[in-house]
Amino acid sequence: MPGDPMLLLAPMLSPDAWLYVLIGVALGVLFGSLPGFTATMGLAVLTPFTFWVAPDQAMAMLLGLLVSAIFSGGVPAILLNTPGTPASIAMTWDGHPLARQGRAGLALGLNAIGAFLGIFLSLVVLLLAALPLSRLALRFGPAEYFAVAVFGLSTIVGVSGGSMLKGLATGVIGLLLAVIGLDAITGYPRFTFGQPELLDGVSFIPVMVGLFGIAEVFTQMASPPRQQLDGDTQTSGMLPTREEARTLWAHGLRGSLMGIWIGIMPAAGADVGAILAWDQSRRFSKTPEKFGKGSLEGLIAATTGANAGIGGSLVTTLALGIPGDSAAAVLIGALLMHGLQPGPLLFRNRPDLVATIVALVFMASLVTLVWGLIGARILGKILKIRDQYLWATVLAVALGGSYALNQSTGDVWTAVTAGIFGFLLRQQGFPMGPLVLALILGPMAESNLRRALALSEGSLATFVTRPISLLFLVLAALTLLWPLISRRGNDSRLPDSTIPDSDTL
Amino acid sequence: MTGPRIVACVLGALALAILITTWGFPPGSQGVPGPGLVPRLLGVALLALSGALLWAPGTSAPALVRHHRAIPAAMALLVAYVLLWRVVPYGVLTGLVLLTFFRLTGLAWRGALIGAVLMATSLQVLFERGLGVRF
Repeated sequence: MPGDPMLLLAPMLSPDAWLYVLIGVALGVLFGSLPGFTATMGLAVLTPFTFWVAPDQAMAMLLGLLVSAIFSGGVPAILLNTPGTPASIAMTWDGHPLARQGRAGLALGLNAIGAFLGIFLSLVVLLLAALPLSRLALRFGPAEYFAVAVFGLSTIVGVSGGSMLKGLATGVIGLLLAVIGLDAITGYPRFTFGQPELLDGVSFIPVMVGLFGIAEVFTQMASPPRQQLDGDTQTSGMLPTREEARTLWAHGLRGSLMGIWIGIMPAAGADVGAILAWDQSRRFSKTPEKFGKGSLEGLIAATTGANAGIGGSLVTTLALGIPGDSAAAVLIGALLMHGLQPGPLLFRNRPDLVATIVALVFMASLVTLVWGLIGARILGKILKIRDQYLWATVLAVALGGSYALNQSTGDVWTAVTAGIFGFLLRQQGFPMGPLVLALILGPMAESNLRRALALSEGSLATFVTRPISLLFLVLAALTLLWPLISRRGNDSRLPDSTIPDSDTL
Repeated sequence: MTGPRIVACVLGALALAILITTWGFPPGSQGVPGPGLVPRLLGVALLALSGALLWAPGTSAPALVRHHRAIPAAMALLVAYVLLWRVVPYGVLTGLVLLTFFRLTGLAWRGALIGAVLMATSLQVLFERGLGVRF
């Protein structure tokens, strides 16, 4: 089982694993700290390079990057009032006021401690969920897999940001891209136009690199210049006093639980977890009037809420193969590249891999904690790197990485095309998260739909007479109808902030 | 016509092209759908969505705040980069493209030249020596 102590300990005793985690964490610090440079972008650019290492080493780098990027996003949120990633939006509300009060060091320290606490608790939940999920795996057939894929696709509504119609449109485009190539069941070539390169379908990794790497660079170029760090920002005194710590633990625990719960729900990412954790913490606080003005309770709740979502999201990502957000979609792409299929059978067939992933996330959170507490000054310096150098690095590495994967210029064309069209569509308000989600789940949905129909001799009843299949189809229907049922609108009591774009965790 | 409406028209045309193309796909036997079923359904969905988007196009992102000319130029630069990928040696090509990109985005000649040379050299070492990639 994934909870086996020996399986969990194995990566922690491997110097190689620590090395790859360190590389991932260092890259995550870079991508997370710089506003506009997101965890998803970092994952997309790094994924092609993991082709040269073993799957567990690849996971060490990618998870290290994800964990430290989400943490590091809090640094510009606190120091510049500019969230490094959408997950850190809620950290601006109390983190920046604290920095302006001369307590930037304490805010950065709480960010590091909260990140570690949130991730640690979410990993406990992931381990607890492993046993029931591995038992459930035995009951999955084509109908269940199809229903799970439909449920995953229904979450397009959630990752569509402002416009559901536009999200659905990019989702359908993703599904259409997924059908290009030889049909998996009959071997009939679809939309290949006589090009042998297209027989294997559209390469997922270059599309991802284009959408989240290249398009993101163009988006940054078009956006206002980022704020620069004030030279005399005080970053000492990072730990809370014993008196302060006594009042904070309950808020950290509540924030973690909220983050885990939101993370488990597909399409509700760390950004939503952090905002809801902050809001809940304010409701339970004895000093709600301080929230938004430099409350330590608000900051720890937001930090734990954002980071606990990582473990929560891994439950859904690994157990069902449904990416909860764009970053998880990229992670699934990386797993698929290494021949590993996330889904119910993963917990049963590869408990060692699940245990390794849990151990690696823990190791990454530990390294990030140490880095966060002793490297705050360096984190501040990263914010001073000129944009042009960063953009050029991302573009050159993204294109080189796309080529290196199969040593094919076709993949470079795919990345450039995805980058240009991704940017143009985003400029018109079309989100890219649904496209990636559909590209991953499309083949799973289609092949299992046709297998299930073949097994049932064409009877659609097979999808509603099997309990697990029915459950996921009902969940999918509820997810699709939820925006119509719930017209509560935005919570006007939350501080003003940019509405997070689920494309860019 | 607004940007989202133009996109809707393009998507509508794409949907029609898909429907026409899938017309020639082999039909499935009873109980086993053929390879055209899913693309055909997706074509119909895309057509419906493009109609809905024409009706309610929503808003587009804020207009470009900066680099109005540099962005299309950088896109053209990337296309040229890929076209010349196998023609010019990787290190030289990458250095030239980076230099042009830096100048396009407003870096001074000195910073652009140093940045381009250092980055192109590092990338060549990373890909060719580190990963064994042949360009």
